[in-house]
Amino acid sequence: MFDVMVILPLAATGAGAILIMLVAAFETFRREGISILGMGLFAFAFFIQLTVDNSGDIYPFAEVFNGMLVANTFTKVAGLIILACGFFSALAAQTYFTQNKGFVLEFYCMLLFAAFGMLLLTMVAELITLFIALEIMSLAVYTLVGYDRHSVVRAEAVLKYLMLGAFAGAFYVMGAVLVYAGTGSTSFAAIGAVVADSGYLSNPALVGGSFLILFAFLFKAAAFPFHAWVIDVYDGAPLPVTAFMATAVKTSIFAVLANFLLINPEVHQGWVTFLFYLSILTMFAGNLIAIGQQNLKRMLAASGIVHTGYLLIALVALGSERFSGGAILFYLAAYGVATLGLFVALSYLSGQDERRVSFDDFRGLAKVRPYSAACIAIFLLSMAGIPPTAGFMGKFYIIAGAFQAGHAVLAVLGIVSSILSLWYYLRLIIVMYFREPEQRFEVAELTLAPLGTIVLAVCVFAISFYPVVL
Amino acid sequence: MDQLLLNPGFPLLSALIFLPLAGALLLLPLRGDGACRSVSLAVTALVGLLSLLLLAGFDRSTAAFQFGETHPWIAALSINYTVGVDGISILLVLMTALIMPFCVLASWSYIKVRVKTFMICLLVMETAMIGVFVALDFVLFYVLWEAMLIPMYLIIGIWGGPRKIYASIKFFLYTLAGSILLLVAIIWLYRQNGYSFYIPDMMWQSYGSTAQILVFLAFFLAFAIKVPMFPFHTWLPAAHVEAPTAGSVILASILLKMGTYGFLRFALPIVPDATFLMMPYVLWLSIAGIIYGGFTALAQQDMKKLIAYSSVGHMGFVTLGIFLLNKQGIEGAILQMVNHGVTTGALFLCVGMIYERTHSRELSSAAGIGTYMPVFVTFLAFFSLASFGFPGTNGFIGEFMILAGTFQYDIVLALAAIPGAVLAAAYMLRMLQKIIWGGTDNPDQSWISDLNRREIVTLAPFLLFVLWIGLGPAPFIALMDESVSALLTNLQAHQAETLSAVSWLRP
Repeated sequence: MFDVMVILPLAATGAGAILIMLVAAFETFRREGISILGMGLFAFAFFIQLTVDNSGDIYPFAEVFNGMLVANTFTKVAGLIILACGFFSALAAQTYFTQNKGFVLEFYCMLLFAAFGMLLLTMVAELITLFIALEIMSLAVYTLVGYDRHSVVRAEAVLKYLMLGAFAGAFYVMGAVLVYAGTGSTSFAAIGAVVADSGYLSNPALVGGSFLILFAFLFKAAAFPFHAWVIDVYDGAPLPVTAFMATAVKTSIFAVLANFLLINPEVHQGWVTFLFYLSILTMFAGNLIAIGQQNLKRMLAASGIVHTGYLLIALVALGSERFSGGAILFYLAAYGVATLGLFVALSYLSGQDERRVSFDDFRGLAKVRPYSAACIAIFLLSMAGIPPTAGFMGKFYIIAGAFQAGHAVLAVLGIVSSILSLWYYLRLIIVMYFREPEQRFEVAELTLAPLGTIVLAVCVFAISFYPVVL
Repeated sequence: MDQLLLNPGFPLLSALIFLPLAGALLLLPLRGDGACRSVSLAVTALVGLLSLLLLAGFDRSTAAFQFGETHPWIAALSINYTVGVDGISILLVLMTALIMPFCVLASWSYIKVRVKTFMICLLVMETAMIGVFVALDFVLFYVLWEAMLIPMYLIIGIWGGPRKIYASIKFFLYTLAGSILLLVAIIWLYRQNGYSFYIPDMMWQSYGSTAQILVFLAFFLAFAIKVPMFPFHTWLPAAHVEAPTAGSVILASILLKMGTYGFLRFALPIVPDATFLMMPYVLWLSIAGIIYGGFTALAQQDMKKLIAYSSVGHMGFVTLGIFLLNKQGIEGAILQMVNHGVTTGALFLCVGMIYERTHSRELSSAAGIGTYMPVFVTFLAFFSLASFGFPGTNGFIGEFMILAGTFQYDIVLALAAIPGAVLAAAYMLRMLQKIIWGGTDNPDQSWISDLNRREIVTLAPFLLFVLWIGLGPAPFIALMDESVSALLTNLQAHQAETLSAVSWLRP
């Protein structure tokens, strides 16, 4: 009975996706109904996940699945973040498609399938299952990016994403094969045992394989030097999908990366130096790209690279006594809330056919729509890491963790990078508040997104002062 | 936690911190500018009155932190909500709470657009400012310290003058960049102290000397920019000139004090060895600030710029007093912080009142208005005299104590500081002379009206404090005496310990 509870959120999203696919065939259900159904399914899965008590490591249906899945508090919280991201992306989509074309009823089905893949990804304990989960997620996200095939930007985005994503998938499979060749098993626990037994560097197949796997993850997480695709893809995708990719995909990838790194301290040690330089390069590459952007979506994509850099710092520091996965999850939650908030706000402010997407389009927003502007300012300040927002607390835990692990250099560079990032976050605030409005910012009425924006703005402070995730 | 006397009764400090925030939330649903003004005035006045309870219950005979409250906040990292006041912070808390109602009054007719947003910014500022002065947990302190930037940034950026965007960004980036290394120092101290952010625990420990110097430099950068000390002062004139009156008053009276408060609260007790080592350099930087501020103020045509540069000079006196590390110096410095808050705040209010009438801050366009505004120039004369330390005003007491301390420390240093006082007299008298008697070639200003009742009510309390501190400073000094003595005793004990530890190195 208990095992059922553990995988029930997983089952609910998967079954929900199929349900929507079936329901979409009937004439009676239109856009509004399906939106509500999609959001309802996310909310349902979220509350089940919330009620499950996953203390300690649980292997659901260990005989049937042969220990392929593992659940603990870390996977529980990661799952909660993913489901919440799904809920708010669905909410953004509801609003977005009242003023943009290109909607198909299967949109919510794909969203749920992607969430299903992500939930599975957080719980995997074995390399082949990991690949299956990764592909379920990726295929659904490819579809979401490019389903509007009449649009050239969408087609460009999906082509770039699909081609490069396929390479990353191939790298992963190659890596998994080599690791299997080196250790004779695909289970994380067994790999860990082999490494503990004979050492990480003793086996070239293991070293090569694990680096190939790491490359695949770094690609998905948009870390330097695998970050180039992110700008065009985020820009080309519809706003709710960009929101979903920026938050939920990142959460699931970092969850699985943390799980994989924690297999064994020696594996972690083998990667630390590598991740150390990567995190620095990722932060600064992201900042330099973001500073030059004129388009908000592209700026947010580039700032997503910077946040990946911070998360990599957390991975470097992972495993030190006081700071474990909690800091990563907290950062992901804080980043998720702010990013989703921005995208939810953009999904109604951008207007017909994403008319308003550049910095200049938001000139004087604060005078016309003071509450929206205030919420956006809160999200931006949180992303920049200004106290007392959640973003500051997230950075604070990560920097404290880096110190803890003896990487003072990383801590200082992380702080320097956060000052650089103010350049582009403040820029939007300046445009919104200190310039005169030139337009009326008319948007579709009777939508859910404004409400969602306010809820998320409250969340920015709520998780800052009550860090339940930690 | 023997340095913290818990307060079992009414949580007075929390009330002071959170009441303005509650007021800001109360403003949200309000419609109508008049209602917003009245509610914010009521809230700030209530906070001001509550702060008097603090004074009534304050025990002058102990150096411990009083009215203490402590609640767990983030248990995983042992971050607590811990607050308390001692003799060093109580005057600053009182000053903050008492000045804020007058900032609301000063914005009564000055702010015409987006009144509600402005009042919300003021109230959030008040929460953060009082919080900074009473926080005893380093994370709480840092969060509030940074949180203050956002409302101030908006105040300058939305309601400011023509170059408001430049000024607000410069203010924001400068102060943020300065304090960001403070965070690194905080986390380092946290690790050294068995994972505790409790500030009194960090004091008087023996850290290694290299580490102390690095931590001191991190502190110094953050606090020196906030003060601002020469050569980190360039954001100040820009911010002051562009900010609306209330913004200038808050900046001058309260924000600048946070830097010097930071030196007293953190630099001296946490890294005493580094303080002793760096003391001469900081002292000479202070002298440079005093002289530089004086000369630059002498050359200004814009009244706000003039007062802004005079602030650089006055704050130079305060840092001078602090780093003398003797009793007159530190007590004079704390008193001078309050004096500067009162007189410079009042001077900015005066300039704001001229600006509301003539829409210009140029000295030349204000020349000769004394004929038409007799009440106004009477106030202005008192505040200007206080600003350059005329005997009988508060400025005299503060500067006298600091200079007395300087003579005790080193006569060369004292002689170097004296010209600053002369310069102050020169630029203030130049301003007074122009405004009161001014040229006759000014366009006809007979239409200008004298102060109305609201403006007199705004200025009168400042005048009261100018004369009160000037004629009878004893009760103010009595408030801080015990804490300053304890600070110096600890400092000397620590110095003796360090000297005995390195004495074998000497021939």
